[in-house]
Amino acid sequence: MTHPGERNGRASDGPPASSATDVDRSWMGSTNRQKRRRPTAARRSSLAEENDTLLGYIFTGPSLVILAVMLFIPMGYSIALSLFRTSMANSIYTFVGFRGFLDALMNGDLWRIVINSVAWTAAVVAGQLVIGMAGAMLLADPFPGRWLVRSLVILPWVIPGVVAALMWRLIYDAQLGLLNAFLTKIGLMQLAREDWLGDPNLALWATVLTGIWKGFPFSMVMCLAALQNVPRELYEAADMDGARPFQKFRYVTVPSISDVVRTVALLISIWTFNYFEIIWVLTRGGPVGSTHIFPTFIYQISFRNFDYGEASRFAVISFVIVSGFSLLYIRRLRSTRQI
Amino acid sequence: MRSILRAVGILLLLLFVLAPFAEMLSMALKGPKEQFVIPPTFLPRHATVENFVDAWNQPNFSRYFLNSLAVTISTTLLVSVIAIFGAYGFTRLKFRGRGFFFVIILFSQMFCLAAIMVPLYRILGNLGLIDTYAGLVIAYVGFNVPVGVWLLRSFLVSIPLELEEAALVEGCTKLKAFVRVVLPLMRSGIGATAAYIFFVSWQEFLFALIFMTSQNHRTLPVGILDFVGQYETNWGNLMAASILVIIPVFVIFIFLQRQLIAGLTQGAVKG
Repeated sequence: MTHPGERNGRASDGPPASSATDVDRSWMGSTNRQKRRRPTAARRSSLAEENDTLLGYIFTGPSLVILAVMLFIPMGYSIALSLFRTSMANSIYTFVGFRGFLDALMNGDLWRIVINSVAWTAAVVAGQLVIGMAGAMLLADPFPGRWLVRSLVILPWVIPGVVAALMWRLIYDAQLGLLNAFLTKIGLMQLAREDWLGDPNLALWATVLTGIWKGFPFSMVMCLAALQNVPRELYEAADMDGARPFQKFRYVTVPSISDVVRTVALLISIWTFNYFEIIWVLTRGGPVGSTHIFPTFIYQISFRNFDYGEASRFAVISFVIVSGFSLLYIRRLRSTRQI
Repeated sequence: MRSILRAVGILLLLLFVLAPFAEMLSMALKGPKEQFVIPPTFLPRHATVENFVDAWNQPNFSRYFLNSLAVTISTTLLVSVIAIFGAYGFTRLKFRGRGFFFVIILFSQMFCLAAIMVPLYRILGNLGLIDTYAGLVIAYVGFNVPVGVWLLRSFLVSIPLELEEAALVEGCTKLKAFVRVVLPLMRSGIGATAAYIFFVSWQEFLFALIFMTSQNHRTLPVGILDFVGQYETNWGNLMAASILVIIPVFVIFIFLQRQLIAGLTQGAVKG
């Protein structure tokens, strides 16, 4: 692996020359200040630190305040609400403590949501990584028109999730959709389905395919960047040792990009787990709840059924799961010295 | 042999990516009769722009467009300003609690929005901000600031410290060094970050769905669902409207592709 600092240096398009000279000129204007009496070294450093503390809080304060108000206070509120039983008919809150959670664990909904969420996240992430890596390997070496292919392939990631979901709703449409038309055309008529999104056994996998399509360009871009940083010499050395293509892939490519792939995997797992609109627009969690994952289910029970207490319990559980992933991600960033 | 395999692979990849776009475009160009021809025609026999005109003239559609534009631009500006200072503070200034606060920023970057929608709805409700642009913008700023700080920070660490140190030796204060030396060098990073925030806010759906309760305050991602009927969907109009929604992001993407990708690869992978 190359050193992180080195990678930064190579990837960043360094400061443009013109702005560097601007900076030079602005310094010249302030040279007369040099005549001022310099504070002693000790005083100077303590002064600098004092300034830093104040300036540091002033600079980072707004970010932290808005996070506290918009994310952490609401989260606290969610946790508090999860200890109550609420009713839709009146606004009476009954304190039930952790019994609400116990009930949720006993009743079937929670486990179904957990299983769906895990299946959705794992399948989408695996699909995105596989297609993303394959795409990156296909596009890593130059060929005529590569810039165009690269730009085109990123498009799904750029478009709004709602639009992606609507496009796929049309594809899955029994009569008008591309999927059935395609299957009929290639003679696999028996695979065509009356209703891809209406069959409880199929609907989740249909949404998974859309999820993969929407998000795989991100993994591809990341893998491409990582592949570009694999030193040529490693491949040359492998060639000299008479390595076959698969061996080169296994012993040079994979170890060189595995760091990046692992980081990306964590990141897209979190995004996918939290993804709302693809499933909401494609199936609304149906048929018979077979595609509900945490975000869609929480939306359903809070804004359709108005059961805030139960919604908060699901919210807290999903928060705990996502936080687990986030902590793993932060630990990875630390261990790869990115923070 | 290998190059043939590779060419086939690239074609398959393009097919997978572009087929949905092709179907969207084909449907958008079909007239009201041809839309429902079974089996569907792939190339419209009588291409027409009727659907685009209809979609744009649909009551509220241009309103949704302007709403989206207003909310997205305000969010992008606010987040950029807050994040520039935040990123500088977290990379260049030493103060007590910096490490801890930075972990909080990272942690918030991956916050599960669904987990806070109920309380946020009630808090904004108590402040009288439900169904207002200000409320939606504030919510967007909240969840975009961490990403902004993180992306900008990765650009900042690639700017050599020596330039600032030189300015400090010349007698500049830190604030002055920041404004005169660092900000000009961050231009491309700020552009990439702003573009990313624009993308994210332009497509945001969940908060827009919850917070904008009256129809004429909706943004495009929610408003476009107007075209989905309860029993029958006018696919031609819907796909034409979808294309209209995509155009602004495509335009920005074409111009900022390089910076955006540089920003993402640095921010997420390199740091």
